[in-house]
Amino acid sequence: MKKNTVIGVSGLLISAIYGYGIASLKNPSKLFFAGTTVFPILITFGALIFSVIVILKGHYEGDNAEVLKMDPKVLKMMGVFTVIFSIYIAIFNKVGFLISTIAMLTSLLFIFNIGKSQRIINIIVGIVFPTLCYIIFAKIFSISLPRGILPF
Amino acid sequence: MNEILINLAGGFVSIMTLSNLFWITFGGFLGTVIGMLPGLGPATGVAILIPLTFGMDPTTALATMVAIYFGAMFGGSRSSILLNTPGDGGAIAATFDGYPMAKNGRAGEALAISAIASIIGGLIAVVFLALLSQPISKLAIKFGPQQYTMLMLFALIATSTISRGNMIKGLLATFIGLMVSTIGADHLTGTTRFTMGIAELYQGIDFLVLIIGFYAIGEVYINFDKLLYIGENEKTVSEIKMNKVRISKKEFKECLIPILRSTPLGFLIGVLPGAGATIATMVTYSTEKKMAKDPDSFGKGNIVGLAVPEAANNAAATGAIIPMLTLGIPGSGTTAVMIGALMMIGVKPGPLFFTTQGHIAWAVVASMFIANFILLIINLPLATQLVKVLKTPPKILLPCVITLGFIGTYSLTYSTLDFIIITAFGVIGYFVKKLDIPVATFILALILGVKLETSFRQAMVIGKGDFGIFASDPITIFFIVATLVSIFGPRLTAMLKLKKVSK
Repeated sequence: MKKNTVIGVSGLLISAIYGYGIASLKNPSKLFFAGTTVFPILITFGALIFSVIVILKGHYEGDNAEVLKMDPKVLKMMGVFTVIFSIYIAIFNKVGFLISTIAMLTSLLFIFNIGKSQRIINIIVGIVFPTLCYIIFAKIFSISLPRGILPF
Repeated sequence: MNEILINLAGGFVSIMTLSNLFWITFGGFLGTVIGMLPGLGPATGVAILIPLTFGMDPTTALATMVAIYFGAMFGGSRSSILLNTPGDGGAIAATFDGYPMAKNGRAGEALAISAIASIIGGLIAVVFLALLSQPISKLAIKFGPQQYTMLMLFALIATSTISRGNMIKGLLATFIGLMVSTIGADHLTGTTRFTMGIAELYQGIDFLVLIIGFYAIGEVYINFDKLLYIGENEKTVSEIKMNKVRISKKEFKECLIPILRSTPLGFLIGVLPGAGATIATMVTYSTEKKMAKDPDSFGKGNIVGLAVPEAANNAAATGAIIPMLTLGIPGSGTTAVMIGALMMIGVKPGPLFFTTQGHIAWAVVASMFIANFILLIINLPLATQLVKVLKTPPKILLPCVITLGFIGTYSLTYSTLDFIIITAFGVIGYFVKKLDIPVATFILALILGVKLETSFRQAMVIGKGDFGIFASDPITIFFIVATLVSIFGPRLTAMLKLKKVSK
């Protein structure tokens, strides 16, 4: 698919959703031009106009148009990462920062850094890096990170 | 002049504490290391290191951020010179002559001139900054809502138009950024907008969270492309023969005048919203090439060809801080991240910053001088040690960057809802980059959105609904002209050049 078509259509969709949101807003100011809706209306028009221009640009580019090429491997990897992040988000507060982050980082490292010889490195980095971060941020900078099931 | 010197002296007194010096050194070191990592620029560096500044007093926090920023600019050139892989856009020009120098067995000289040119460019630019900041602030104090509206419109449009071939995409990204900025409670009436009933969104989307999603997670996804196929052809720093990190007097003399020539130009380009270090380095490089006696040697390892963009790069980085401190308007992606972080710690840069928080402002200017010297110390004697960072495989580094992104996000709001936002915006950021949409325009619109809307509506009330208020005085007219020039100027120049060639 042409890059400009993807961008233009996405712009139109976003503008439509945003425009639907504007319709449900009230304009509490007596002066319309100073109210809650005037700025959103103006920027929606702007987005619509440029979305259409981008689509037309893509249309007239013909065969010279740049095409969006997606690597299935990258998409798959992004999907796997999103699943790992979702599990991380779900367990973060329950099991605490340290254990959940060690689990997340180690998983990411094992996905990327494949090979028998890399296993030890992955485990060491997966444990040491979050532990160091925990000491620096929670203990030195007093940023409150959830302890979860750990006593410290 | 006397007032500036007295203020600056006061700044030096405030900043010269052991704790401040430690943080400037540490920030500079971390910035250098992050800047060296291919694909990770200063914006990502500042974004993921924001939590470091929490709990600090505003002066130390701002000085640390500046040190991280400058350090990343220094570090960005290391991977350009040794791996032919720039850390960010501003370091691209360093590959032209830096990498050929390294391949020809002159890696030490390349690293040395890069650090020396950077410090000279950086220091001169800080002098310009000290001289210009107060007059700009004094002028900006006179701005009312209509002038601010036009200034912000100029900044947004100039940022969009600067990306060649992507102007329309940039403008569309600007409007979408403005849309996202309206989510949450209306700042003038308190009415909630576009929150979909989610209580956490009443305060709006924290743009720092979004920035971390875009820059930290999105950048990692972009690196997937390379990472998945790293194999036999992977370039490593060990292929480069390292000699002593120093240059001869003759080489220094050869570079000095070009450095002094390119610094003011780099600085001026840096001050312009959106222009930034990439354009500054490209413009100064091509200008110097045209002026050189042996232009053919450029691109083949000419030391001047490396010194010039390095000086311009740091001068532009310093220049970009001026609109941030004096107008409250970020001029680049990194200063956009910095302004967000500053708001978190209660510092409000803008026209009154040098008046109401002058002690912080001048201490930060003083810290820029110190940061440059500290970075020279880090980057010259420790150069050979620092480049070992480049040997760390990205397959290990990038997951660690993700982890830092999550910690940074959590420390901003202590809410895991923001984890969902960075995960989503990481994916969006990947597609945005794949589609060649300029990210900086989106981010800038997101940051300026609330201010722009507020100024616009206030101006409309003053003008009783008449749009003529936005062209009612010399300042607003100046910004209208500047905006038109930013849109049509490059096209007119290109057309004139074509006419000349055809004649």
